[in-house]
Amino acid sequence: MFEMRPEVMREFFEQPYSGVLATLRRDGTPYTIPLWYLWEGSVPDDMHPSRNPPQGQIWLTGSPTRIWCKHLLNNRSMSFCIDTAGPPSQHVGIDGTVEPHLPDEMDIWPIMRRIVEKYVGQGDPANDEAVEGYLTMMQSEVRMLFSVTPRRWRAVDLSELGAGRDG
Amino acid sequence: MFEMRADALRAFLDEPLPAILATLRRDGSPYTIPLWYLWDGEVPDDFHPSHSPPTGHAWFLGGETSTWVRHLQQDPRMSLCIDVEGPPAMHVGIDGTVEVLTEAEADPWPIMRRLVEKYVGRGDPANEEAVDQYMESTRSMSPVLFQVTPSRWRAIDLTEFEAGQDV
Repeated sequence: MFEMRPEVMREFFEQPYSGVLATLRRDGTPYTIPLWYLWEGSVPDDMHPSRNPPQGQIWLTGSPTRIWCKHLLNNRSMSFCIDTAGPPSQHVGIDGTVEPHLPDEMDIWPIMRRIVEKYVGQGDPANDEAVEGYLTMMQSEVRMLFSVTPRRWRAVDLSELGAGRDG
Repeated sequence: MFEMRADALRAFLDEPLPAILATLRRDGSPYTIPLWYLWDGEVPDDFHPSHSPPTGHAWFLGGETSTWVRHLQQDPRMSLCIDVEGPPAMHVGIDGTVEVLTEAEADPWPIMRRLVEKYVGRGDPANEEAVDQYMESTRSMSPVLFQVTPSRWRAIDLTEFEAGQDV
């Protein structure tokens, strides 16, 4: 039903859309928070969410003091949904598990820079200064990364259905 | 930190913004999907997410065959996140449980009408025809009605933190 085409998905991942992360509390209840993300991988030309899914990973930037990071350090199971309010309404859902990366085991800053360039830079050189300022601000606290290994994908594009959504 | 003010929250909950719903699979892992929601309640003037939360319910509708509907019929725990990309970036998170209401217990159609008016009508009389058409297209559905009782709120408004997001 209304599967997203691969070229649409590739373009979708480049846009500075935030996603919503769902984590689990210690008691197993879900928690949600909007986050920036970076997709690193490839979308096959004959992509299909279950039969031939994209190959790669998603990066999330956090800080060990954040609630959602504590959740993920305790239980690595998560779901992530990136959504355009539309029209046309499109969304990508990814369920999977995370691997935490702390600064003492990996240089997190090249990925951090790419995330800030995506969301603050937005491909406009006029934002270069804002990118540097944002990175400096991030460097003032302990940061960490999570890499997400997707296990299940959903990719829906309601372009052809006009006003609708899965409501 | 950057709590949303009561008047901003009231306006936010009326906006035709999709919510991301997080549900739980049988194995307890989270699942996410965008949907339309409706807020029915009061936001106190001295609103604070934990000391003085809004009172009331959120509503949404689903089709019997949807994956997330089956999840909620089995485990009523959920989280909703409503997010605007900004600037200014704002988001509301609602954790809680749902009650599944059958057609005998509550008529889902008035809620359907209000949902379609919120998301298709968007307060513009020019959309009245689109609202009626949309309602017509839902006639063959047997919608399942969910009433959300919130147990925890988050309401963040980064207006004063211009470039930000919870990163």
